[in-house]
Amino acid sequence: MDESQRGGELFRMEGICKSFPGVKALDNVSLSVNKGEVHGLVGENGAGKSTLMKIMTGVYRADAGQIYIEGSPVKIDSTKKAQELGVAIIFQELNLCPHLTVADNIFIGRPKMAGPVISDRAMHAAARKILDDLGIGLNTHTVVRQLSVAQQQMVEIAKAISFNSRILVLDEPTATLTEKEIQQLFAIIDTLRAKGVGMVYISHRLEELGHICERVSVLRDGQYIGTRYLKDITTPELVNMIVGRSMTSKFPKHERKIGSVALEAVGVRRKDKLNASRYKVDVDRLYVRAGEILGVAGLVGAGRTEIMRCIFGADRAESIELKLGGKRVRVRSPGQAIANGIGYATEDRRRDGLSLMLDVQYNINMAFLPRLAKMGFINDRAGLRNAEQYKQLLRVKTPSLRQITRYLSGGNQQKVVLAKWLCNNVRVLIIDEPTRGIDVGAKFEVYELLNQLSDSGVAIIMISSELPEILGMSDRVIVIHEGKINGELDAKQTTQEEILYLAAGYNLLEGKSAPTLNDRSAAAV
Amino acid sequence: MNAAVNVSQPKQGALSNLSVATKKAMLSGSGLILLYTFFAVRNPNFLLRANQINLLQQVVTYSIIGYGLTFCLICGGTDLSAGASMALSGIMVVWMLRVGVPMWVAIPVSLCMGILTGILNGFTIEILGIVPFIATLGTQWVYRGLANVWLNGNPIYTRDIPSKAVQEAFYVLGGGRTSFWLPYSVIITFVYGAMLAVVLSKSKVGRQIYACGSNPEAAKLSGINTVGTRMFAYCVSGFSAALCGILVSSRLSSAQPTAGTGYELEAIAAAVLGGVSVNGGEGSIVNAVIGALIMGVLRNGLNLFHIGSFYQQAITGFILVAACALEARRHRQSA
Repeated sequence: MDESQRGGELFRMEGICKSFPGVKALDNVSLSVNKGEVHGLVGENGAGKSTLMKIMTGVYRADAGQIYIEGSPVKIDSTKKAQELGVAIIFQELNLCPHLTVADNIFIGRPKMAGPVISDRAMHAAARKILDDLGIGLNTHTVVRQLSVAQQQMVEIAKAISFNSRILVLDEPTATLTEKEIQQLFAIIDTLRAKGVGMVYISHRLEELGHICERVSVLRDGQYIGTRYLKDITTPELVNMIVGRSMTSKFPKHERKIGSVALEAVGVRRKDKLNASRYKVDVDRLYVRAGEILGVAGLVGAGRTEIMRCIFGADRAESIELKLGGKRVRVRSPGQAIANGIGYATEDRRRDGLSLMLDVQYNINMAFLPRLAKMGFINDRAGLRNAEQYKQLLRVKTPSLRQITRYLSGGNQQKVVLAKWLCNNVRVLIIDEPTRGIDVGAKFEVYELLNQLSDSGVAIIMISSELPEILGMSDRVIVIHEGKINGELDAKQTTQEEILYLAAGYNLLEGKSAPTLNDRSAAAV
Repeated sequence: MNAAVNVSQPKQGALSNLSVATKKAMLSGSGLILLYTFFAVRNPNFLLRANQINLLQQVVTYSIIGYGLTFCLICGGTDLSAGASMALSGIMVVWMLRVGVPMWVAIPVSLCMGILTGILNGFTIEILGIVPFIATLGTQWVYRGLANVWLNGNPIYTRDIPSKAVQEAFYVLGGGRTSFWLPYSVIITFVYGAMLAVVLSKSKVGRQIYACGSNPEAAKLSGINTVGTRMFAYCVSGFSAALCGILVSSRLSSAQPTAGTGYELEAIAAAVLGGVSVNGGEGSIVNAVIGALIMGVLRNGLNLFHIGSFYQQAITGFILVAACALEARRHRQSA
């Protein structure tokens, strides 16, 4: 990836400043991307990455500074202008119409016409060509709703390319992808790179940057910290640049005292809604001990979340036998699960973890209401005390308990979710993707919290798609494949490769052959 | 890091500690005061005691049905059957009094009838899984149809109640006044509203109603019985409709199968004007009351200016759209 081969600089932002009422979001920030370069952009949540990208794509206008494309100054004052100049962004939250086909989505708003009517044939042919150019093997007639997140993302990329985009911003593209899907994405990025497209790659996953980027730029608190070649910098150095303080390890070191079995689930089965002939959840035995962190790995869609929803009573299992501390219990609703000391912090806090329009206190107390109520009426003072106590305990950064939860940062929202469960004195905490979309500093705090919890004897089941997190935090790892436990590993002995192997359906003992790439995408639909 | 925290937060101040519904209540409350002052200044008859009492009596209907709808709207649903349910309970109570059932039986039975319509609504929505809008549109026709079938489309009158004493006692509920001129129906509305306000803000089920409307999945996963909670809200709506039906048939000394036609929509409009969100999770009884007062003052004031009811309809509609547009704009800015 020599720069001279790629034809030099494509895009440059210089001295960009942007203020919002009361805060300087960007202060003299510069960024340059070469043709065919993937340029990493990192920084904690709120460091100014999103603001910079919004200026780049015409959503915001900069207060000061200049943007150049291929050396000539340009003014990007609207999203339409950005589109005309070939600047496009793939947001973390995808913006497709779920009921329309792949081709419809790619050409949305500018269908191919044959006289006065839309020509479906021309549109599908054009979509086919774009997808083929990128090496994406999706059917253009498939309805987007039926695609996996990874496949939808590919459609978004194809859509951006259909506008002849030369500069592409990828905002946390791998946050919801599994390892294998990430490899597919990287292949597409390589294709784009070969075409000379310049890319800005935003990610919290630092290890990825080394695989895909040449250079990385760091922002902190709206300030431009610097740009480095990744081959010249170590991960600790990069983390240091991001957080502005040195962090010895991403995972706090910890010795755990593991007790007896806290929760045991036997024979958990639930049919697949889409295909009644197979099970979505098919677990013979799953257990977690007091003071232990059980890591649950597997591909997205393997059934990890579904297993936990069955155990928590959120979904009805066809069969399930649950023991808590050796005693059989019946859990048929989340209410009963909570009464039995089980908590479940969901994967997507915005979708099903928090009531974003309600305030912090409300959210913290949401699962605590039975204990705050006397004769059906709420003791407000006790509620306030409880919320205040857990706000301080978890160091939730919020101006007040009355703050609407939507306005908190991702890390602080996650702390509110945790507070909701901790105040219930849970004995078993199921936590699904505990650090998705939160920044390095907040991650570390969440890890420390999990360690404190396990110290106090809470059994933790942690679902995660981030393998370093699984390895760094768990004591024991189970790997889920197609709803079954495909292997159990000791976290201290195992490797990322071993987990991936099991997650792909390969059995270490029987030596069954690993599925091919295409199997995975078929299974996702 | 501190600067970073601030980026995603709105400006801080005393106001930021108030809930969205309270801010809306203050906004629509000031609108109400403006409206009231305008009419008071421009028309000398507006402030007359007789007119003020007339106004309050008009507000009673919007308020009581509005309370029930506020519960439904906050928990993310709606109840289009409230007007029909009101007619049914109104007929029930007059019919029972006419056949000689004592009042202390007839009124509770009619109120239970209202709760029953609420349970039925809850059943169609929660158990049969029909979206609230369509489900209660259907039950609206069922209830209205039943009311018509019952009386063959004709009204019944309290003057046909055999006992004169019962006739008079029943009239007092909706039409009677205390010695200081305040109608009993207004007192009932106020006390009932205060009770519901406490339920909504201080009780467990009240909190659960907000949680259900704000994010049903998060509520369910927090151990809240969402089906039961919504059922409760529909029952409150049915009960409110029944109470309103009884008060109206008492005041008018008659019950008609067509009574309350369109009241549910006016009550929704009032609630929205007062600051209850149709998207769920936001609102309070205070919002409903303010909305009802705005509707009442508007209608009463326009009457005094001899503006025809057709114009009134158009003006009310315009104000509703304008208020919502303002609100939508504010929402976009804060987002």
